[in-house]
Amino acid sequence: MNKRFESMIATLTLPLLGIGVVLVLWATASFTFADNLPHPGKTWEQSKLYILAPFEKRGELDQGILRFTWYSLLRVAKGYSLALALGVPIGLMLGMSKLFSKSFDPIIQVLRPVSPLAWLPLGLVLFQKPEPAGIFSIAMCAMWPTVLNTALGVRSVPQDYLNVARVLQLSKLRTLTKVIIPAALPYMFTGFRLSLGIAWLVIVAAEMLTGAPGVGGFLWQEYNSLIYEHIILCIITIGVVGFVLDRLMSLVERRFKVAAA
Amino acid sequence: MSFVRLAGISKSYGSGKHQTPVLEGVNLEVARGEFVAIVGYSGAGKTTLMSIIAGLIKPDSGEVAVDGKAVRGPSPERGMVFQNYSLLPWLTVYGNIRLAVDEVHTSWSDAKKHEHVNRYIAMVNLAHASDRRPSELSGGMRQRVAVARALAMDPEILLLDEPLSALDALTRSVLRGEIERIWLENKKTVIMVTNDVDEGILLADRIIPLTAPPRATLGAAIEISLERPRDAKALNHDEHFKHLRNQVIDSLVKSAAASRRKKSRLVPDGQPVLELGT
Repeated sequence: MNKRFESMIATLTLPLLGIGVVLVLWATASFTFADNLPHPGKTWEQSKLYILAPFEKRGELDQGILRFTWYSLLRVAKGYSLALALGVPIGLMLGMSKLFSKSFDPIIQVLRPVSPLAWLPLGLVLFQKPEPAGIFSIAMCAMWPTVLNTALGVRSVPQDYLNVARVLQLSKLRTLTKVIIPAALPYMFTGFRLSLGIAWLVIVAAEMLTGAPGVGGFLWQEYNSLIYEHIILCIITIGVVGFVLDRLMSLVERRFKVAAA
Repeated sequence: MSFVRLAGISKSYGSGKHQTPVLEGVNLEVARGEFVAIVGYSGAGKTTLMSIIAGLIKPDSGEVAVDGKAVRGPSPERGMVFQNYSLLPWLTVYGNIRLAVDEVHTSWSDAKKHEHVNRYIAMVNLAHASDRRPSELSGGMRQRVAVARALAMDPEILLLDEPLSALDALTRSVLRGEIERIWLENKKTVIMVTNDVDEGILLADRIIPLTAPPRATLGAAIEISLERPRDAKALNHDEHFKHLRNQVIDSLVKSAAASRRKKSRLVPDGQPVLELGT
């Protein structure tokens, strides 16, 4: 009982201790060599308005931080949906067809490491508008983990399950929906989680370049307006939201792993 | 005319220098309603032979025919119970069997399918576990689901690939009794492979030894005319039973001695059957 209580205290206090250390380092840096870096107190002072009235809209690029976050999340949701809608079928085909895999694997390996900053201008050329261009670059960057994990999941379907499908003479489509996809789901969800992480990474870059209202757009605007406190506010917000998204996805992922075990 | 006919089946794996001949010149005839056990060493090609009969793999030469028609691929007419059960882990007991019933009896109404599935679940005594997933079942229960799934397809032939090998000795003897009971009720044609001589003798009408690898082939059949249902406990002291066991083991040992490979081999399980009233 005593031990459990001690470990509970530790799980609560140690992260706080870590945050404290980082705050001290941050303050020390801003008071010593980094003159332009606002210290924690000043950051709070300047950001208060945005945090305490998180949904307030005062102007196009002067809104509460959660309102900006909401805009960014909507954009991510669109790009992420597109990434899954493209990534899952491509992954299934890669996993099932040797011919498809041999033909397209090299291209995928080349496109995969391309940065969002490179896709965005191409999106602008293609769509002529910043909004679809941003969604396009999110999808182009975020779909690869889904593609690769789906393909891996399909390739890892045990031969035994496929033999069952063959003995039952399941049609190709039924084999896909009744055997291959359920068997590959745990892998696919790992891909979905990684893809979501990337989609959230890309949103900041996309908004910075297009100036769209959102966390990334706000960050870039405040840099240009020399309000450095808000850059830090945005960084913290982006980090917290990314963390929460990852936790949520891993909860979903775990559910599917348990169901399939 | 025999119902199942294997003529000159040969199969090797690999190619060129690394080619390993597994089966060579396998001939077999099984009558309708007969229970045939093929007994052989581990690694002799028993599963390969079963997969060929099931149509899951193609032999290099020779032909399998059922009811006079050549086998070209797998079919629900040959219900296979796989060595490792092969249940789909995301489906319940009911779901696994229902999937098979849905595929095979496509014209049936939902109510009829439902009743059919439940009948087979009851037949293997799993009514209480109908909603559980395979991960929540013991090995013996999984095996029973696999048997029920194969039977629910209403196959002409039931293929059992070492159906009891993954189970502990106690569960084995219980399930062996159930397989015999189900066979007596249905009178399906059954081909079973096993490495357990006693299991073969207790279940089959006819035992055929599969000679030692490589180039395994079927030896001379041994008729088992013991009365059914067979009581393992009583038979363990039966002279005729002991004689049959020795006959099968002798045949296997001789084939191993004849095999050119000098590696030492394990004699298949020749332990006395467990003294359990099942």
